[in-house]
Amino acid sequence: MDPIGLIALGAGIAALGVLGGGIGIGIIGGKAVEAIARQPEAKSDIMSTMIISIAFSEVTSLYALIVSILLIFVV
Amino acid sequence: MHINPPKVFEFTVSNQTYAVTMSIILQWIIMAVIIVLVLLLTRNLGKIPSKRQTVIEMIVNMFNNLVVENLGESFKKRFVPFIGTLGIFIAFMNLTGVIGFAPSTRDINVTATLAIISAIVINGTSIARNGLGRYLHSYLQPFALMLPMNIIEKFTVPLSLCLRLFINMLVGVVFMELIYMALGYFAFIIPILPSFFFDVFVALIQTYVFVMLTIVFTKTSVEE
Repeated sequence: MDPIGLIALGAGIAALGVLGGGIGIGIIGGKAVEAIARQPEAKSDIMSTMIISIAFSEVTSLYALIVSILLIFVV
Repeated sequence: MHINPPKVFEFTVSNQTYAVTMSIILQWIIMAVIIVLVLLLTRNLGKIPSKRQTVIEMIVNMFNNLVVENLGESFKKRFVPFIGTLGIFIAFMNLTGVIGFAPSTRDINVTATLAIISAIVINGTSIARNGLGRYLHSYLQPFALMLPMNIIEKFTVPLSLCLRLFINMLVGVVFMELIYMALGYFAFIIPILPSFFFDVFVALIQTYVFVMLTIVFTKTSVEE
């Protein structure tokens, strides 16, 4: 049997992991908007904390994406 | 599709073959560009700033504020040169995607080196500030059984720094190649938007994140 179909299937399933990162970034962004609405003068602090948190959250979904990319192009 | 950077030439020293890849050549070019830019831009600075000097002062002030706001005034003299160099170098490396070369930070060897440098600085600052005794004592915090966790943490910090930058840049490179592959001969105008996102926006955000995380980890390791 040709393995390319199974590889594509595995890559698709692996890419489902990006869901978590997306939800996380959404929650972070929403909370940051709330915080800025409460305290507009603390905007720059909130923005830098938000970008750091997004970086932490984003990298988990990128791990899933890299598994998918490796499955397609390397295996 | 090639994920690894292309080999340019290789040389042999005592039966060991070293490959010089495109990412190293790009870094040499970037170093030369930065040195020339610094020499050209910092000539005849005056009390009354010209346009050129205003831009330089903005960049220097940005790094000054970043360090002073997060670490405190006492770190300014030692830390601003390191953070500034790191930031400018990574920014230049990430932005080479704009002129058509795949960024050298999509090579894991480059980001691993940067992360090791950061880890040495983070732990070295902690030793220099607190003394070796208190640094070693921090491994036993909050209690002695946490020793293995604390040792693992010392390795996961540079690992996550390295993987974050590497994966973000690699994903950008792979996505752009996929877009060009999908569009074929119709690859005009449409790739501008994703290219702007991956090559400029993500590149600058990741530079900021790398520099900021180095500062934050230094802060936590000094305070422990």
